[in-house]
Amino acid sequence: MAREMPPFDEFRNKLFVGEKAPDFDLEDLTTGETVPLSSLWKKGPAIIEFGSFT
Amino acid sequence: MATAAMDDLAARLADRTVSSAFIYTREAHPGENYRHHTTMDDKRANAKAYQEHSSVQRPILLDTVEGDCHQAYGILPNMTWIIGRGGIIIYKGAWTGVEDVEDAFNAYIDGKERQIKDQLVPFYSERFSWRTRNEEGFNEGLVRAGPQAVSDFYPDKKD
Repeated sequence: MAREMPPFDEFRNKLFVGEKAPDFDLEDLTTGETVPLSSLWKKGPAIIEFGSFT
Repeated sequence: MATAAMDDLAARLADRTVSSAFIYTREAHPGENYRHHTTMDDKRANAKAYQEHSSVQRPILLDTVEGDCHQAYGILPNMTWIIGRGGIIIYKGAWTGVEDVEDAFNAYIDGKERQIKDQLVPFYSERFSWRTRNEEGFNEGLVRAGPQAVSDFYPDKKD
């Protein structure tokens, strides 16, 4: 399989600063509970990093 | 990834009512040892392996197997976003550069605090930013993931 570059346009061409952040239900790895992403920014700002082990 | 440095930033900002989290996405460079997830159990297992290996301190939140959240936010492998209280996006970084994240956060907070007194109004800007690239650590990660991850990333490399 050829090396592929990340699809940068998907990042650059949608969801801009100043817009409302979309909300999703995510699973907390430690507790197993479902956590709305929006709960992070309910009381103050949120810093959210995306990533994986590899 | 700059896991420890991002943890340090999260710790420094925690007393300013800032929440930090790590959203576990699909594998960026899957290999024989850490494969592409086809079930939530796959994702949980790899996320736990990452948690143990990296000692990440921030909460890990698992995206769906389909990657719904990751896709909505632009699907790059190591983005960082800052969301203001109430849900307005105030920063989007295509990669995670700790200094850039902290700079953006401080600029936002500083402006909010001085907004009325100094008659500040926000505006939109884009710029290049810089991050440290740990090539040795990255290559170690490919080897850890398995031979397939190495050959996918370095298709022309001969042993």
